[in-house]
Amino acid sequence: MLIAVWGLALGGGFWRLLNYSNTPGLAATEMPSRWPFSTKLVRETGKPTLLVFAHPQCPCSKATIGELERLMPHIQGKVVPIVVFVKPKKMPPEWATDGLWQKAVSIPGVTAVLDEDGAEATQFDAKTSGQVYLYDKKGDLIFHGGITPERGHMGDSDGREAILTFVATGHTNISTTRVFGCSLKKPERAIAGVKQ
Amino acid sequence: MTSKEKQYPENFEKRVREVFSTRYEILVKKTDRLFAYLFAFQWLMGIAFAFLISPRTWSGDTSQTHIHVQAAIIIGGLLAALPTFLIWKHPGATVNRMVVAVSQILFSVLFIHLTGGRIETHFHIFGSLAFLAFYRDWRVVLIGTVVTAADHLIRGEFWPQSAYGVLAATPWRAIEHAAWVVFEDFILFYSIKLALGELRLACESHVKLEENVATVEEQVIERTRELRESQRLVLEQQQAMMASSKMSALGEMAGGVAHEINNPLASIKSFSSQLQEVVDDDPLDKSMLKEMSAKIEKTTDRIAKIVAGLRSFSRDGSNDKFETVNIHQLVEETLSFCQERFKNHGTTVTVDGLGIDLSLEGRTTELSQVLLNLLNNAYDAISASKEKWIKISAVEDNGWVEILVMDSGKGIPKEAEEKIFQPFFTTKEIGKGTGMGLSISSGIVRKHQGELKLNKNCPNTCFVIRIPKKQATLTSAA
Repeated sequence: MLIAVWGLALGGGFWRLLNYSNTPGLAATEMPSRWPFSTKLVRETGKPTLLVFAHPQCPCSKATIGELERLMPHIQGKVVPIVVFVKPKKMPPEWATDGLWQKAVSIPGVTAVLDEDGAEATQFDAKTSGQVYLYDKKGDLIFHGGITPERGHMGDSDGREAILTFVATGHTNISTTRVFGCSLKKPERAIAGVKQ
Repeated sequence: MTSKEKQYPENFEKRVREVFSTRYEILVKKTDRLFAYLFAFQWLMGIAFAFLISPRTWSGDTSQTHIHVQAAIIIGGLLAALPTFLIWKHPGATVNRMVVAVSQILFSVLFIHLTGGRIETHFHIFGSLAFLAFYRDWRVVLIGTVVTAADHLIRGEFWPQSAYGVLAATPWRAIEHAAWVVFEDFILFYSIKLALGELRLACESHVKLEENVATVEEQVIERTRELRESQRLVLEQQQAMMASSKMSALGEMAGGVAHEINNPLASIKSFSSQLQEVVDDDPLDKSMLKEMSAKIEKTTDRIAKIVAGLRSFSRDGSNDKFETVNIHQLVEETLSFCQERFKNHGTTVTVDGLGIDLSLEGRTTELSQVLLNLLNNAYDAISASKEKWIKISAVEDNGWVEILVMDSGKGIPKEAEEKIFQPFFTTKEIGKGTGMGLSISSGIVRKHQGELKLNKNCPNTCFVIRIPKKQATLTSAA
């Protein structure tokens, strides 16, 4: 009886944990299908641009940045990666530039940009940390979504697959995937259906 | 197989199973305790992972405790609690290791989540299966494997991307994942089989050793009994030989003793004759009468003393209590048995430096026998010499008393020096002496915690009896 109760309690605990790990954040719905002229982000013409929006303190986005690092050997020189760290207005700059920022800038070929008060995130309708956009060299949106299989986990994913396929062949069948991460802005409930 | 194994194979097998069961239980309890400590450590480690890797979840500029921290504390605590409780309550029970197996693999699942799915954390699964093999129970490893498989299946069903990362994972991925676990399982099952086989062999050796020890013990008891019986016979013979030696010494001096007694008897006869003459005198010479009577009385006392000394010498004093023995008195009494004989054969005996108060704790009768033995040996050794003397002296030296018996002989031949204290060794002609005298005398002195030795630095023959003045206890324990 004791073992049964224990088993049930564990089952419930792991279910909650797994459910949380596999519940995505809010996806972008009104992202620009072409590179917006109003953005201050600089796109290198002649090459596709990979845009990654990240919350500087989001633990799940460690996996996103880790996956970006894993992608780099395959996309170096072919795609221009930019990581945009969204900093709330009232937070000091060092809040944004410690931790994940340092990991991002340490990846060769990756540019990190500070998005003061989430202006760019709003432009691109990025709501969840880990939101990735892939624009081709003409500035058309090819793919948007996340590049991790679940919250905070590295590993193979459809997002990674989409980017690699595009780089190799010039097109991809996967246009969107789920995004796992913290909410870039408050006070929305960034994780649909799951209490934070 | 030993003879008992052949004789009682069922008993042997039964005992082997008992020993195996006991040893296996000890192994299982030790492994239980190991896991109890490991679970506590892993619980804390999980909490540390959560705080280090994902302490808080964010929403813009606000944050709250990450669910991982709660999971580490609550789920980790649950995973550690039940097995630890069962191990504490019923150490070694079969159900413990089954629960341990489930718990250990679920700790792997938890760690993988807490560390963000790091490849390195997946090693914990393989390490855990190996730890579970410590139980030497293939069912435990199997349960661990089943839990691993169930985790993949359940996640694959409800959260398909969480299992392999992609929605459209090929079946080969599942087979690949399973194959590594099955590969390790085979190795572990085989190692468990080998380990159990070795344990069984060790138990068989142990049971064989038990039987050998029992056989040896039986033999030891029998041999000890035989040895005790032999010792008893030897002791009886020793005592008989001691008695015989004593009698032999008595016999040797019988002539001398008879002479010791005859002389005073002759004196008494002479005094009686004179007395009869004095009684017939008129007037009666009362002073002469008194003088004759006193002489008779004194001479009678002398005979009584010799007889008392003989009686004392001839009794068995080996069980007497240790008492204070006056050396001067001891030498005087012993000399009373032989001094006349020595004198009549031209051997002078001098006693030198014996303080009136010099004494030691010992058995008078036994020490007298030793002294008489040395005196008789000395007398026999110099009987054919031109110069015939025997000197007896005694000194006290730092808590020890040394009694020296020296004769005019030229010493013991070098080749005989080491042998003279051995039983049955004698330099006397056949029929004269049994060769037991010095051996028995040496034994008596050792019983007095002392030593009878030959002084090799003396130009003449000199024996030294060296005995402590005080014995360890005043009992007959020696």
